[in-house]
Amino acid sequence: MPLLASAVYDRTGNYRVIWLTGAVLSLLALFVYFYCYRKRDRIPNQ
Amino acid sequence: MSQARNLRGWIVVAVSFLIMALQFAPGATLVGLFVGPLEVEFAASRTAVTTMMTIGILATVAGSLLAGQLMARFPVRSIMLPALVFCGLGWILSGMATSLMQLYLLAVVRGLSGAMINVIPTSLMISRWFGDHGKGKAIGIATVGSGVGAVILTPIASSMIQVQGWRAAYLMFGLFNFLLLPLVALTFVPPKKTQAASGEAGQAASPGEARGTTAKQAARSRVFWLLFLAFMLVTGTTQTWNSNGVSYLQWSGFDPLRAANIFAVGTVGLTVGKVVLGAMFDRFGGRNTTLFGTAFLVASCLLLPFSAATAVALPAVAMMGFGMAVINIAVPLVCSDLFGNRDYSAILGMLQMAPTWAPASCRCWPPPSTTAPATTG
Repeated sequence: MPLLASAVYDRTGNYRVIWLTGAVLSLLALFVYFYCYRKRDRIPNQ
Repeated sequence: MSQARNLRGWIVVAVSFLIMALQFAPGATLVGLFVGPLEVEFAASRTAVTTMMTIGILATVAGSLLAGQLMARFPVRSIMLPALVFCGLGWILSGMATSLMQLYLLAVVRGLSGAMINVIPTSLMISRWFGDHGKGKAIGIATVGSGVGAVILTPIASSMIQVQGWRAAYLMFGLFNFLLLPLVALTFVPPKKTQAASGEAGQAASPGEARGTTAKQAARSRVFWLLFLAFMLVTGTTQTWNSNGVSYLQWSGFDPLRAANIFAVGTVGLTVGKVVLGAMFDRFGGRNTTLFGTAFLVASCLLLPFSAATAVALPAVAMMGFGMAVINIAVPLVCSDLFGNRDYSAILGMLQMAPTWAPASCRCWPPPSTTAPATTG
């Protein structure tokens, strides 16, 4: 996130874009958590 | 859980709280206070001084991995006690350093040993004492210590640096480690195996009770690496806020004092979030709580671009603080949820590397004067 936000900020010079990038990446993390819990039963010996 | 066991468990939480306040907070959140004084003392550039922090963070990342592996093989206390001595000496010797190179080397000592004292062992011990019943709330309360420590120690360390110099503050941080030594020695013992609650993470009463994956199996699974990525994304977002929140609020039009006050609301949100999300883990499970906490982060990030008005900025910042707590709570608890207790400490050590690295990659953007929009705050 910091590296991506840096690149976005450097390109646009707009602080606001950083938080929109954060929103997208946090949303991605949210889906990943959901996916990981869906897959938990497939982890060996669980 | 019996009353005596319950009491001993809460004593472990109280000592963990002190560890987070006196040992974790100085290394994680107060290091910024020393940048200016160190620049002056060693006639060094800011980059040269902050390189010490980066080295410390990288050493902590390596220390997390090492801590998990060691605590899987040896009693937690037997790792923590020498680590406290090394970390204490690391701070005290840093206070006597005569060159930046010495500080770099001592940052490695502090980073490596620090990882064996705070987040990993406290989560591990609390999980062992509370099992599946109440560990979320207990870990949440213990992690509040880092915020309390930062709030209390920041003015103390600042005035100490001004009056007696930065060396005195380093000495104080070193002495904190030695103060914690007897507390850890007396309290950080696992519950007796006969008392062990079924399913306690990392403390199976018998081999038959061990469940979950080995560290090797976990490291080969897609779920582990996706989780690692998710923790990195979330911590990256929260660290970007920590490093740039005040600047951003000023850029949005608030004067410096108002921006600092609004930013402080995030600390309140973080404290509340740690306790609430911890309790939610026990009641609603890891998945629901992690999704709930992360949703606050998403909502906050969506609101922040429109935070020129106080009415928007306050809830946005409070939600950022609340959502930030998810990372403190989620790493140890999701780890036991998804990978079980068979190799808990080793897997926790590996996962803990994800949130630890984030500050090293964080960047502070320029001051707000260049592109400030109209003031509406």
